[in-house]
Amino acid sequence: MKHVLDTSTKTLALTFPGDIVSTNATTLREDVFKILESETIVRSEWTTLELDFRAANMVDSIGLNLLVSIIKFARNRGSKVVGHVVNTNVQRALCFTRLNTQMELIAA
Amino acid sequence: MSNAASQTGKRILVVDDDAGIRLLITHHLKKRGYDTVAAAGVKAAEELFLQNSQTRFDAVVTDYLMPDGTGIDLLEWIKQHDNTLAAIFVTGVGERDLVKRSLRTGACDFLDKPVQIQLLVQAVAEAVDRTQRQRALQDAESSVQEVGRLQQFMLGSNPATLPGTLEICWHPKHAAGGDLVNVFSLGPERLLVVVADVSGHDLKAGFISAFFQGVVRGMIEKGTPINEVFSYFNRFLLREWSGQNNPSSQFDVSASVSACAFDIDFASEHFSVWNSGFPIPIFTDSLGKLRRCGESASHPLGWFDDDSATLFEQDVEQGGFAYAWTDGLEDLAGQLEISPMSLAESLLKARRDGVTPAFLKDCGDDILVVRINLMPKGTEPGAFQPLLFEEYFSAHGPRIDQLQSQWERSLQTAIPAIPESKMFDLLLCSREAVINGIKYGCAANPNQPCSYEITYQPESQIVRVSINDPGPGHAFDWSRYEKAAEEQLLDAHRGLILMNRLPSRTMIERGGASVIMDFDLKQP
Repeated sequence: MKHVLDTSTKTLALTFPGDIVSTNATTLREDVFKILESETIVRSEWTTLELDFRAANMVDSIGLNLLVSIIKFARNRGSKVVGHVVNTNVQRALCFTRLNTQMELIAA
Repeated sequence: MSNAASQTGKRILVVDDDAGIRLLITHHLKKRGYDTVAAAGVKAAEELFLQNSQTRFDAVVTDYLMPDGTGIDLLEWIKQHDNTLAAIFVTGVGERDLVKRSLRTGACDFLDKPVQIQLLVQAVAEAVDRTQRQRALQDAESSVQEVGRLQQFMLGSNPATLPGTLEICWHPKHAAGGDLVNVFSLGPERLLVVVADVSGHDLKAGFISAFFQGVVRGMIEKGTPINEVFSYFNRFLLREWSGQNNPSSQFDVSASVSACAFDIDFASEHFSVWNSGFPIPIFTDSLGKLRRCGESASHPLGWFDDDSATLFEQDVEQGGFAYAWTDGLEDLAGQLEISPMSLAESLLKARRDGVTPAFLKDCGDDILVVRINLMPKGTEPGAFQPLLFEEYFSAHGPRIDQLQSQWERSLQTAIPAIPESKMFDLLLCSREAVINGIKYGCAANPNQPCSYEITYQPESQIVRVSINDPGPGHAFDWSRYEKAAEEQLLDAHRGLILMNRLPSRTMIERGGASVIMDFDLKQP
């Protein structure tokens, strides 16, 4: 899991390496929250969380639940969430489960 | 070295522009009983070859360099007319390597000039033997191919008077094999379809197959029930053909036959299946529900004394299809890591389209697929075709990615034109439903599997996915939950929302323990 903190734009970017599905969601969750709860990130003043899942061709319900947890974490900090997506099918899955109303979706 | 008597009547074509060498060779060959024909050049040899086409030559002895061409030119021309004829090149100093490098027409022998008679006689005798072996091989191949054509003819027969329709796809590994299908009319509205696979996939298997078919036909014509025919043939194989059980037998045939018979009664809308060692057939009803035609395996005929044939019975009120295939199909499906049903449908479609799928080149066994339309003739089919039928337990949970890949490959094989977005929806919803079934259904009843089925109706282009888990299900208000999930960011049950939204139709029964999802491939 790659992450970049841009202090000039107050943006934290997390890049998912591929699909977000039941078989890797636990590992991804650990990786994501290890970053989000690290001292550096906690102390930083980021106001936007960018989730890059352009490498994902599938996001299943367990993957969607992970996204919900991340969105909730960002909201509790008062940050907005932006999602970058390429695969139109993944985009549809996000829209059908109304997650597009919880984050700004940008189709790359 | 062959003696003169054995070579009597063998015809040798001798080609050399040097009259002295021609005379020398023909003289010594004639002395040893050969019938020789001599030509002074390539063109003359070609003309003689055509003039003597009724009585074939047994070998050719040719010079290399001649005024109107070379021995290689002649040999290449001859191979186009008779690729079994063996040749001997008579070459001068330094010519042998040149001929070897230039020759594209296969093996031949060489003699150095000046010709030594002993070596010439020996080389000609060996060339004649080579030609005879090649011709015997070619005759055997031709006979096997003729048997294969006969089998194709027998498999393809579907008399117009029969009250049902049958679709057959047969891919023998060799020209002939042991797979068979026989159809018998047992009355105006009753049909018996016998499908069998004789062990082996060679001419011996083809012969045993023909013998078995003769026995079955004779006994059925006399009114013997098919299970008794199977029982008789089992005893016959064990007592008369098996050297193991019959020490006095001079020849151990050791054959076994996996056989299965469909007795279809269109009037009472019922069919029964007798099975002896054949892969368990599949029945799909008009709603796309799949059923295995039997649960327990049985022995092939010729293995053991006890009759282990299993009986399966099924009503077919709305019609449907029954499928049977030999184990060759299951082996190839395993190699390709796809469902046998998808492979069967793909092969049947390829046969209708007159094409041979490339993946058949990897096939290690004969493949026979039979599809029986269980509706009376003239009725529109409209039934769902089976593409996948699996049963999963809790232990399959961690393997969901591999299962999903297998579903995808199976669907791509059976429906190559499936739109990418529909494939995504189907795989995602299947994944959700199977995980739910395993997690909740199998947890409640660990010894019972969660079944997963995919069927396809080509007329409507609807792919139907059915998941049944052994659990009790639970009450769930989909629309209320969907709203709450959005507003309160609930992090559970989003899979159910996908399963409700992505298919063109979702049907829930038993509190969600049974889910049917239709994916309309026509819809954008």
